[in-house]
Amino acid sequence: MSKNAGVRGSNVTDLIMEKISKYPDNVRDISLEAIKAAERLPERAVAELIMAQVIQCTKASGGDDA
Amino acid sequence: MIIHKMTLNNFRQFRGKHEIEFVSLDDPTKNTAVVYGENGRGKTGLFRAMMFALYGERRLSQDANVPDNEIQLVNTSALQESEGKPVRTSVEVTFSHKGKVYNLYRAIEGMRHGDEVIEEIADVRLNITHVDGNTEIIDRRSIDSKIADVLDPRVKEYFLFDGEKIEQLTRAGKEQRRAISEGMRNLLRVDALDVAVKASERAAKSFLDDLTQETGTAGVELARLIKSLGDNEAESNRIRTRLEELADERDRAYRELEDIDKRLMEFKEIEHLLSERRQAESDVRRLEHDADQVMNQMQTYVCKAAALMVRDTVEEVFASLDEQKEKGEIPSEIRRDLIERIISEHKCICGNEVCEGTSEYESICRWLEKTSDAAREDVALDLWRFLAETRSHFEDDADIIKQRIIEHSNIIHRIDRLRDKVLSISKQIGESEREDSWKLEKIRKKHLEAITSIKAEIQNLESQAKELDSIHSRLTQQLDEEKRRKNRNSVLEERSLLAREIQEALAEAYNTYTSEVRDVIGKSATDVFGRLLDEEGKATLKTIVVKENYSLEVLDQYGQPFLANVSAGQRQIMSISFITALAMAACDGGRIEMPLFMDSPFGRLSGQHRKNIIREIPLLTSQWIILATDTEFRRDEAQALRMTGHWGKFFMLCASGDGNTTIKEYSVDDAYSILPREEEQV
Repeated sequence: MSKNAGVRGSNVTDLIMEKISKYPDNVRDISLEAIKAAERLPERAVAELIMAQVIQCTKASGGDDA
Repeated sequence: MIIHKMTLNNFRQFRGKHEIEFVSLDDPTKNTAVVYGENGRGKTGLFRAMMFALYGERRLSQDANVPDNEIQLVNTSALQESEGKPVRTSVEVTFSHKGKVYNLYRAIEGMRHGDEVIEEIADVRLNITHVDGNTEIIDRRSIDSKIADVLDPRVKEYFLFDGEKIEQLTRAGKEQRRAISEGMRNLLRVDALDVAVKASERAAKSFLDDLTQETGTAGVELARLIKSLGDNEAESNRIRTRLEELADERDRAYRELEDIDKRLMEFKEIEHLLSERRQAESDVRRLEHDADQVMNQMQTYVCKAAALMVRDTVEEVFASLDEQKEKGEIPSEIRRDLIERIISEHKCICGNEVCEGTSEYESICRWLEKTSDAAREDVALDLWRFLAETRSHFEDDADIIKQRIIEHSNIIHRIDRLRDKVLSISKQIGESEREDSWKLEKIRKKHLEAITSIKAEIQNLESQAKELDSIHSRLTQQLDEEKRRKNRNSVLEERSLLAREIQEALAEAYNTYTSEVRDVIGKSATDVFGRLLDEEGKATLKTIVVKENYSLEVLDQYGQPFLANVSAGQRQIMSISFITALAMAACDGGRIEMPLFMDSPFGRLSGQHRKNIIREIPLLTSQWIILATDTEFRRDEAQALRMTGHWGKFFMLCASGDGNTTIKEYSVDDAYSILPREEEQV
């Protein structure tokens, strides 16, 4: 981030996504969903959303539900 | 954004209708206005009126401890005379932004109800005149979002510098960190990210609990690793929090020391001893820093020093490896795996059969005994290269290490001598005939002992934190290996791992993002700091750093912390620089395209600092509105402001005799003549 770039002109979500670009797609997607949800939902609801997404994702990758 | 005109009607102390034109439309380059008046006349009320017009807000951040029913916007005299009827209070602001002219009107009605005054929003209107000259009447429901597009309500407070905010930032400690952290969080909009981080921790913990309950599977190791990492992070956080508390305690003790030293200086008979002690203590601090640096340099030589200690063995091993290399044993001419293949397949590379019991077979077997495996050869070669490099620097390394050890011991010796000197001076001060001075000296000694013990605890905790960091790296590595394991036995393992990765990703995003912004704001604050400091300050104070715990630190030319020695005026400049940097960041890093209100900014500042602020701020912002008292804005300041060519307006807030305030406008020239000279009061 350059000194004159400021912090508000840039899209905050883009800046944050840039920081987690090294993570796999599913990690990035769920993280982004969580940040968007956190703008309108409380922590507990966001945690439940993350859990639902994780369960969905592991089912899709072929795991059996325990 | 530039505020052109504000019209108040029955607002706070301003009874009836009052108009202030901050910038003349004929000359917009004169972007600085001075509102001048004694405390309590309503200077901050003008900023409050602005915030009320823009956002309908009745409170400012400085009202945090004031109950709601004590904040009244409707003029009290007007209420008294209304005989129980509602009184309308309004603020109308005309401002321009990006070529458009906004006319905003907001009114409340207030009525006395018993002892209380009830105030309710009565009206809000916004018209925007576009560049093409057409005027748009904004629907009432869209007004807030139109205003938020001009100035986001979350950063609005950065454009008011009041004495309290400046003072809050000058005091190192929890209060300062809270103010900075709050400012940065608003600026960064990291609240959502923060909630997401905490939610991911909660989700990861829930999956880990599920996994831990599933016993007797391969998931046990994974669960153990994730749990250990969580415990490690919790312990690191606990240590970090304790370190912050200790830093606060240490800073408080240093402030107490400063205070005692100031009081001791009042005793003229020991003044020379105090100066001598202050110098010696400052030398000790500088030398301690030098000793740390030498120690850090020595740490880079630890590996080489270890090799030097076993120099004979190194030479012996090198000679042996070198000999084997000369003989062609490492690397062997034919690799062991090739010979093994010939023996097992009974076939030579030329295609001939090699049968057991033949002389060829026996020769090849003897050859096998001479060769070593490839991995061993690689290790031996690596070791040969390392030793060849190391032994070539033996003499130089020995010299450097010797020099560093001598240097370190000399510094320690000088520190010891200075400490003895400090002790001896302190003893003399303690033996002073003045009872009050030796009592103070006794308290000072206690603070010094407390500082020593705090420093020891900090050192101990820092080393524990380092150890935890290294355990964390090891555990992360083990977890990575565990992740790479194929054929996971249970879906619970998959979930736990994915949740852990999401937690890591969000935490990393938060940490990297906030650290980059801290850096940007620190650099920007440093730029402003350099422009505002006087020559003496510029010579010693170089950099403002926003630390990880959101405290501010000033570094000297050697990059070392300087805060303990920063004067009250310099601290005030540091605070102003930091708030200006926040305001600049809120405007995307460049010039502040918002009006900057500064309420009593010159309090403790020296003449040169005042002049620097007056010279620089009009260049950094699109509009500057100075709210000043008669004690801080005199002819000197007025003359400096006139020299900038940016001063266009001067208003005086005067008491009207019935507890209300009237606003009188003077030309800049007239203002100069009515302002007091130095040491004069109005």
